[in-house]
Amino acid sequence: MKFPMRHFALLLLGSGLLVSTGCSAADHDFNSVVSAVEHKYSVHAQRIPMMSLVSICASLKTHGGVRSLRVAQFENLHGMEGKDLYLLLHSKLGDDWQPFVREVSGGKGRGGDQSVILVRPDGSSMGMMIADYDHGELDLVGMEMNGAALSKWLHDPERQHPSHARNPMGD
Amino acid sequence: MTGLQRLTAACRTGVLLGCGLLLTLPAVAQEIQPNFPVELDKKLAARASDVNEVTMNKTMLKFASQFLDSKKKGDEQAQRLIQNLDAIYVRSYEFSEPGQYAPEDLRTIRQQFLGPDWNSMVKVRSKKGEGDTVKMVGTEVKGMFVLNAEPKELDMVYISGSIRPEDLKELSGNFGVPNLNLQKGATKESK
Repeated sequence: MKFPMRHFALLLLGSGLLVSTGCSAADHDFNSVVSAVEHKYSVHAQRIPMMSLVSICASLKTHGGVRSLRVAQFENLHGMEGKDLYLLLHSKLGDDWQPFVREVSGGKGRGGDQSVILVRPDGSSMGMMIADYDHGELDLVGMEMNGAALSKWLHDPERQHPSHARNPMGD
Repeated sequence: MTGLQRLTAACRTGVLLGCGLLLTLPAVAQEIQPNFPVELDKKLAARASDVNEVTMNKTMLKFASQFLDSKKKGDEQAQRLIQNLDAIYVRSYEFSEPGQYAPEDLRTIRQQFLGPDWNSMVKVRSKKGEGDTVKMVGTEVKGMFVLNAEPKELDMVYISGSIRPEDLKELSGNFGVPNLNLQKGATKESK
């Protein structure tokens, strides 16, 4: 009886280590951006409790298509103008992250809205960092996506779900 | 709405936005814009009230093409189109008032696409409101550049890779490429 319990505990520990190792690089990038925003604008990020669990659920739901999901929200963040958001992200994330979409509206000096999406291709996966600033509120979302898994899930999400499996008898 | 609910909503929006963009904006290139006016980009962006930039390199195009369903006719066509592309760069600037870019700026941009490898295919010039509207399409076997200049708006689309002129119509309004309305011109001048 002792062996299966120890085996299970080791398995759990191993899985935890694997998950934490895989997430560390992505977490580091995300956390560095969060810290930079906090320091520069003297605001504190709000985070979702147990986000790791949410991330695991997202990964399971999408069959590994989306993982390492991270979210942070800032409120009462003022003084962000023009290219500030893009420059901050670029300075913290480095050249590995490529600009994908940049949108600025409202113009400089008028507290314009800004949206920036940066991506980091990594083999079959792609890291994505989405930042959206709108009237003093900044939302940051980071994730890792696996193209093949996500595509499979998007094209036929039901087929992979056991409860939606077709009845072989056809009724 | 509680803070947790808002964060959850933000999370959901982020995932949907990310996936949606990858679905609707396929594009990209490993080599960073060999001819694209990067410096001018910065100047124009600084003067514009609204800026929209989409940059997709080969890696991103390849990644995005995975989300297209090869069994669907439209998707299959788009997939074939994307396979031959190296990159798509979209730059759209809106200005609060006319005169925010100079004729020299346009000349600088055009000069990069007027080398021996480039031919001006279509040039449309029309009087519209306060100023001139110029539409120019330059194309070579390996790329296409579209410039749409209006008094308070400047749009540039650079597609690097093999693309036929008729494909441009398919891309217009899709894949991050603005609706260029190329069919509606006033006077056409061919080079």
